[in-house]
Amino acid sequence: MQVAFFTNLINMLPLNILVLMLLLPLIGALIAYLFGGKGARAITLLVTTIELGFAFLLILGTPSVGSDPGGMSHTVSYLLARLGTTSDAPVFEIILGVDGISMVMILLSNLVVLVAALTSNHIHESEGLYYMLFLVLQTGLLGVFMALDLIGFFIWWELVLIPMFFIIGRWGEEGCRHAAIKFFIYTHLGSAVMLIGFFYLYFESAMVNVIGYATAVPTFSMVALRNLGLDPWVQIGFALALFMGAGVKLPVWPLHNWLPWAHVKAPTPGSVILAGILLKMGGYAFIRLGLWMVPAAISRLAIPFAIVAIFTCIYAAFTAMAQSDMKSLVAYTSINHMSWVLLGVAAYAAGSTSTNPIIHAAAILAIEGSIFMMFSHGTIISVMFITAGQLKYNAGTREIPAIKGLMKQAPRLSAVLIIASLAAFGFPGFSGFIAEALIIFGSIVVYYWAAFIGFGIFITVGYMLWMLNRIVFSEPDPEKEVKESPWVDLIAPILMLIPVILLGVWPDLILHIVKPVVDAMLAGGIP
Amino acid sequence: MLFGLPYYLILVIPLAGSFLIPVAGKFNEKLRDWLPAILMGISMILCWSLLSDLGTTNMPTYQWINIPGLYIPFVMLLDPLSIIMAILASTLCFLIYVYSTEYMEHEGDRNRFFFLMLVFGGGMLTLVLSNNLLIAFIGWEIMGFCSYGLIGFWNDRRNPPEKDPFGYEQSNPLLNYETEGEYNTQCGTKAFIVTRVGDAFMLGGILLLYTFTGSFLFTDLAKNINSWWGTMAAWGLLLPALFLIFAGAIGKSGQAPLQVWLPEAMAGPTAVSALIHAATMVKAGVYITARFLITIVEATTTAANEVAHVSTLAPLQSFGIEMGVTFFIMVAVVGAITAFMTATMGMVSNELKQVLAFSTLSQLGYMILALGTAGVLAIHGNYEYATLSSVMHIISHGAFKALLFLAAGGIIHGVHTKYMSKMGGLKDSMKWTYRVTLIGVAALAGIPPLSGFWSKDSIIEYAFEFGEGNLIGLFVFILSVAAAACTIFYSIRLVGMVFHGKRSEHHEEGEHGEPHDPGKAMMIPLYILAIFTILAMFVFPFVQDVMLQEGPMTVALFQEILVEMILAKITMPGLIPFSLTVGALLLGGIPAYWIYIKNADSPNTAVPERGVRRKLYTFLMHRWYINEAYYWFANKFLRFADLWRVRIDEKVIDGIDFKSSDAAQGISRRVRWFDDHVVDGFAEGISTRSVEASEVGLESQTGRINDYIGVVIFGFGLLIIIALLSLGVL
Repeated sequence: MQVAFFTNLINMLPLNILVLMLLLPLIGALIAYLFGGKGARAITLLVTTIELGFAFLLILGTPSVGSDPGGMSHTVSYLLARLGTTSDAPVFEIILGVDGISMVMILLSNLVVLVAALTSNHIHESEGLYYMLFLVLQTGLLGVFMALDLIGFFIWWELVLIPMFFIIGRWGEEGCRHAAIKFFIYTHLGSAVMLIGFFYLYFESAMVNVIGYATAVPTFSMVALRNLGLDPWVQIGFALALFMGAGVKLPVWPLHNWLPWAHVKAPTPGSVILAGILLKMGGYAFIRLGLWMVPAAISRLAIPFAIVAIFTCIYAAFTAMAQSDMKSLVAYTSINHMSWVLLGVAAYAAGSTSTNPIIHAAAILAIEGSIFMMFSHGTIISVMFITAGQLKYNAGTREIPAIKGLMKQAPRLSAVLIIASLAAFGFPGFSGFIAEALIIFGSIVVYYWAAFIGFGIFITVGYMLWMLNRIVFSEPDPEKEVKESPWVDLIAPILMLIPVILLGVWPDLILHIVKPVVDAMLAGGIP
Repeated sequence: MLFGLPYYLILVIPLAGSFLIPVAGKFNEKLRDWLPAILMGISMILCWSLLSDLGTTNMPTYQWINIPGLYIPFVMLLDPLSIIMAILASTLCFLIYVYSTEYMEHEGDRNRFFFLMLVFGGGMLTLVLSNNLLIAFIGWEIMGFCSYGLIGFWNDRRNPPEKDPFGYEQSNPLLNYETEGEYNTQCGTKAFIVTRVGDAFMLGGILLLYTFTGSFLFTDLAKNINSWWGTMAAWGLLLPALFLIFAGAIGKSGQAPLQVWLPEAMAGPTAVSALIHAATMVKAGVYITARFLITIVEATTTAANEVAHVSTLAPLQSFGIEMGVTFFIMVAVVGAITAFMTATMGMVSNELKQVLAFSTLSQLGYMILALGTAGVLAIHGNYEYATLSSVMHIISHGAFKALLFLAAGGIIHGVHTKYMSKMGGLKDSMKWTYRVTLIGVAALAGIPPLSGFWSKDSIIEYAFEFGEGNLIGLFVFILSVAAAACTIFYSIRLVGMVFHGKRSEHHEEGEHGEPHDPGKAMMIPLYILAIFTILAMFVFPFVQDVMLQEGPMTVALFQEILVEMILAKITMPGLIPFSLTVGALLLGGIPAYWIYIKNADSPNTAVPERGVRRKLYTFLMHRWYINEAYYWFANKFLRFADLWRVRIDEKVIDGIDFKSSDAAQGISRRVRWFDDHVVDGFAEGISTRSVEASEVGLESQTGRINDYIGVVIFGFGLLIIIALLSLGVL
């Protein structure tokens, strides 16, 4: 979706727009730390709003598949170090660039970050530090979606981890330290394995031939690695390492146990960012580093991936049903939904090489659904977490059996909760439905047994409605009073419901941007 | 169009503008109340300006759905019928919205009211201006929904419903209401459900039609695309499809046997009744019938058969319009039965607006009758004038019925009762209302030279033409003449009971003050409509010119049409039906005049306590027991459904439900335990073990420099030994 006016606007910027987007929160973080208090909040809101504006500018002014190598746009590179003296020696560098998929993810992260900043109004302790970490986190998130080389990717990936660790550990609820450490260990362990995978790929990219001579300069650049056409066995080795890193983030069974802890103990904005974007980093890594960079490996691993995804979905749905803490329930819902992304990835990988046009078309449907699911889940789950956090402020507890008669006592909050729940279980008219429909229609054609994931939807509907029945539509308990949320607290969720409904009725807004990239991906190599 | 604006603005302005109403209500109440009138006024001006674009065929196409196998574009249709209907609907809506600003002034929740009113108008314009049957159906459904919302508008009235002094004991437990709000809600629901019955059939008909045509566009249908007429006739599906679509019209236009909803639709505010009866809703059914008539006639005269998406078998032989003649005869018969049956019901009703509702039904019967007749006459190729008479009746009826309803609204507003037996003697206190009502009633009764006369009489004329040498036609003709007699009877009865005679005791209680003519915003629309009703005979030549496309209007043409209109009544063969109609008018008019105006002051003794007349009265009062029959049937069905629920549903199906939900919760508890203790427990266990292991290692951390240095030296020594070993020195 390229509009000439916005393209000109981007060209008029003094810096490369990507660099600008990365630097702005960093500068903002410094200023916010120096100001502290209310000033920090003001600066954070300002910066995140400008960032969202940039994201819109970027998406409106950039073609989905650009003219730079790998179909990227706005490519820029920064040399970190050269490992040798000659000009063709291998290099460590940070390369940035975007295509349709990354732009969609960038838009999502800026949207979620803005909403998380809005919901931070209950944070009153060391605000300067909090907002500094918050903005650094934003830089990291954007970096992950912009990185085009493995070293840069890893740096941004880890940059996200550290502020998040502090946000959970410092501003969370009781028991948050344990949760923060658990989050850190799981994620870090995953990233460590992934880093080994990165170096493995780096050394293999030298393409040592049978005689023992390197035929290429080893590289970390994703575009270069993609175009090398590595041996499938090498790719599979890397994909397994990737599965550890991205699988923790996504998360898939059995690497998921950090998630409920981290989500439940984190402060509301922390949960929003965790569920809204951090999980998407996993999905994005599967698509960018997996499907996009090592397609041969993922297509060979498609069946186990799909099985894991379906199992995770149903498993998480059942676990969610037995939760009594509202935030836990939402957290397991996240796991439940993100497994759809993996299923879409697996179905695409398996179907995209098929010569049968029907399977081919279904594969495209599945991957578009995956990306759409990431966006829609990011928006829906944010609203769910905000309302769950709101319950704590208004009812004094998040225990589902303890809250009664929300509809009568807090109709505004109930309305938001009901809409969000409908969206979460994929009610037609909301974006969640489109995402699930696209993935399931696509996957069933590729693997007929993917229909099992429909059982997951069934349980999801069940526990969501059960939750609503217990919280919202029950008779009020006269001893426990529930306060109505003030409008200030509801701005953020209502703002977030706009894309949920808009994409539910007009999914092409996102799909149009994603489609050309998917087509280019299918073509393989340089578009 | 005007200023080269896009045509779709006509529908978009009211439909999209309706969402502004609640917004405007936040700022200024007055502006909000006038907003529908303003927006509809703009639409009205645009509609009138369409006259200059008459017959434009090259309309822009907006793609709505375009997937392989299903292409649904949005195209506007600007043929004479559409334009006339659009002008009529928008103008009447505009007048009614102006009237509502004052009528609803003191009511609560006007956001909802004006929103629904404006959407209602927008729905009608969508229906009449859309070239696409499916989009027209959307407009049709919008109206159904808005009528539901508006009829039940006063759903929160807590007072018990007003008792009808002439009413009968209601034996059905479903129909006894505690409050007026309940009654109003039931009326709205009934209107929605009954029309939905028709709509469901209609949707079926549309889809059946589509499977043969492959296009929803009326213009394509008229081109006999895929030679659908012949193909469907050959498959024997032509009549079913047409009947299904006509079922929608039966529901919407309140034709027999689905006429039951309209008399009760009076529960809403009067402006709503006027809107439903005069401008929108019930005219929709007539419109769609007329639209299909015109389309079918054109399709059967076109030989061309373009092939679109759907390919079907080519017909073996060619079929003309004669294949549809059964359909048109049925249409005419349904219209005639409705016209007569509802007119008789109107003769006994005591509720002011209900009498008007029955008269609407009866007049709609006339219109449908005229269309059916036109279809039959189309075999001989002269359907235009019969269709024209129907369209004229739509126009004249729209004007005088809006007039009557708006006047009735003023009366009910003034005397605070809806029953005519509690009114009486308003002639002096509501002088102007009396005068305009008299004009409206005279037009309704078909007294020359008011608007109703011209249209209704020409319908009867064509019914006569149909009846010559045709038994069914004769039946239709007799019913239409009999209905005319009933019409004048209840018209005069209405005037007599409301305006003549003694003051009823009801409004001498004095709490409301003297009834008086309403204010300007309510009266001016009335005057406009009254003037039109009187001068209609000079407007009809223009309508005829537009409908039949007789070229630009000149003085000579105007005179020619006018003279022809008048001469048709007083020369053969028009003289026979005309004189029969006059006879019917006298037959109905004189007794009514005798009972209700001449002897208005003395108590009414026309219906004795027992005897044939009382029996007939009761029969009519119960509305031929059709309504009761439906309720009886619904009640039986509910009983059966209840039985099913108790015997099967609760025991078997609920049992399965509860068992499976218990099972799901049981599984979920076990899975959670597994997740907490096994999956998480494994990770936590490792971490606990490793912490414990590190604690063992902690003992070596003594904190004394000497120990550390000792260890370091030991390490170095070890390294050196290893190095030497590896170098092969040792």
